[in-house]
Amino acid sequence: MVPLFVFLRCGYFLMLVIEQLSVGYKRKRILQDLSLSFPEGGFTALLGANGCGKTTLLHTLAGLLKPEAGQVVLNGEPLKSLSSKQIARQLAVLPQVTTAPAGLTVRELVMQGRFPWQNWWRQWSDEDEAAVEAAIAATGIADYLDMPLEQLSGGQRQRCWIAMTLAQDTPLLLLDEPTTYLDISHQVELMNLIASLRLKGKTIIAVLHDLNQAATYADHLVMMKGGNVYAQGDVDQVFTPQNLKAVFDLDAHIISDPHSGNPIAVPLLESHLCSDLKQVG
Amino acid sequence: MSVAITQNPARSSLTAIRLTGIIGLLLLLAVAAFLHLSLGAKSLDWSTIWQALTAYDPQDSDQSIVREIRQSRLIVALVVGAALAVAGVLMQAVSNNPLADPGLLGINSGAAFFVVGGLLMLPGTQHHYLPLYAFAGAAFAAVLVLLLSGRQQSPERLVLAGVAVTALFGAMTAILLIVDQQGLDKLRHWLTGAIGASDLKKLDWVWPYLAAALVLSFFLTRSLNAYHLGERAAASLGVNIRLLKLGSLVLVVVLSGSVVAVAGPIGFVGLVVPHMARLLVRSHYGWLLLYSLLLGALLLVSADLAARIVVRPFEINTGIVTALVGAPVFIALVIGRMK
Repeated sequence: MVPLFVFLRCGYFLMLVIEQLSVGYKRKRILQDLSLSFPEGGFTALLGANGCGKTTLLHTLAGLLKPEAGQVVLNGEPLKSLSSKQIARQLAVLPQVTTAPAGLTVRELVMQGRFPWQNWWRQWSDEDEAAVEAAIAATGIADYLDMPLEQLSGGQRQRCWIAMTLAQDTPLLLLDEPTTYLDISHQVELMNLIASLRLKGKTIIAVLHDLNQAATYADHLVMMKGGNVYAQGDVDQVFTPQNLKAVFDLDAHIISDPHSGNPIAVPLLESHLCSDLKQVG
Repeated sequence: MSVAITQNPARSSLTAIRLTGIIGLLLLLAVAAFLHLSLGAKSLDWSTIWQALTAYDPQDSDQSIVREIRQSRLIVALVVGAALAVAGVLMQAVSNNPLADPGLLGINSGAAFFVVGGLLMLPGTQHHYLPLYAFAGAAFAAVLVLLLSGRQQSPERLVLAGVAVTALFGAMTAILLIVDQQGLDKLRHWLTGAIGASDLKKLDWVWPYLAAALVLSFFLTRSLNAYHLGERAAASLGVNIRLLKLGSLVLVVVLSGSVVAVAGPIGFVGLVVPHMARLLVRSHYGWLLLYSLLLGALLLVSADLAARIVVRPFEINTGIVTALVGAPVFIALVIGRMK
């Protein structure tokens, strides 16, 4: 059953819909009876404390984990009725931990993105070529195409992996904490890149650990707690002190960025600590 | 951006370099093969060999040494080396473990145990059944090692499981042979990995399996290249991980089982050769398989040559030579991992 209220409220076509999903490893349930849908062309950020099931949800959306109950529906078709290649033509995934396999050059990595479009009798077409060129242009990695991945910085490497997922040429892009191990300037650079991809028409679903990045770049927030959705909707409605307290156990107030007007969460210091710190200073 | 990304000059020159490497390896292999035919308990000059190969005169005893004994042995060494090397590439790729080898992970000893058991305990065993026993033993050992190594797939635990299974099957084989002393004499040579002229007949039983497995290995190239990015990344690219792993397992079992049925358990070729090949071609599995196939053949022909000429006029077993070469490489790899 599609949760109809989301349909009515967003007014978007829903690409990816989750119906009463339960997922677990062995005897431990991670996600419990979770229903959710993702608007086409939107940037959805999945937020929540560690262990709340964000990554599990992302993997289930990508078909990498099989649900125990419920289902994922991709463009109207149940995910389990599609082959892994068919899924890979619809959605690309950037894993949380990206490796730098020994000896692999950037070019070889990006070319791997064409895997779901090839088979052993149809090896490399003009279409593959065009998709790889477009991915390289969009991510600005043309300068180090022939370098081994191992020799690049974390930020450059992450760009190359994103280029690989772009070469996959999918309408949907799933990102699992894409900025976690990067310097702050590279984080901003990468988030700008992801936002630009969304403007070019991709639907983005990302697990983000930085609340303010989520509030700045995403337009649809999903806050998760204990294996289920605690709150979801537009940033203005969901990004509230009450929700942050409930989901992250964080005392914060929301201020508005004077430059962009975007909401920013600022953690509250306990008042005595506040005055003590001032005295020391 | 008018220059095509994939057909740019740097890339086509890389292909040219790799092709040149293949030709170089083929030349080396030809030299090794010629030496293999000429050197031995009795050294023969090159013209005799040439004559034996082009205008064979069965009356000439020297020529018949070349044709009847050394040529058979050469063919067996070429095939066995190639098969073991390809099995090693598949195992190392799919287990994501640089220490994987059919010998180290117990697959060879499992196959050997089933062959010995079949020969000694099942009366009326036809010789062409032996490869089937070897496949069964290889598969049994592989599954046992996988079960023992657990879900985490840590490389160290996998190797430990392999060592344990190797010891287990080795002990059981020894028990069988103690019970049956006559069998021991017949099989002692084979059990240390020996290549002999008579093995060419055994190759007749296994060549269809071997040829099929070698060809099918190359069909895995694309999936192996994607799997190189990590299991999750490969899965999200659409690689059927379960099929890839099962397929590789079957190919490894057939390749190593065939080799054991022909020449006995020969270790370390599958370990060493993929590392040599990786130094030459880095990361592309199509080339890696091709280079490994040729290097494996080259290594085993050279090892078999050494086995025959180092203690002339006596011989040591080929498997002992590969162990002498391979064990130091194994130790170096382990030390490299611990750093």
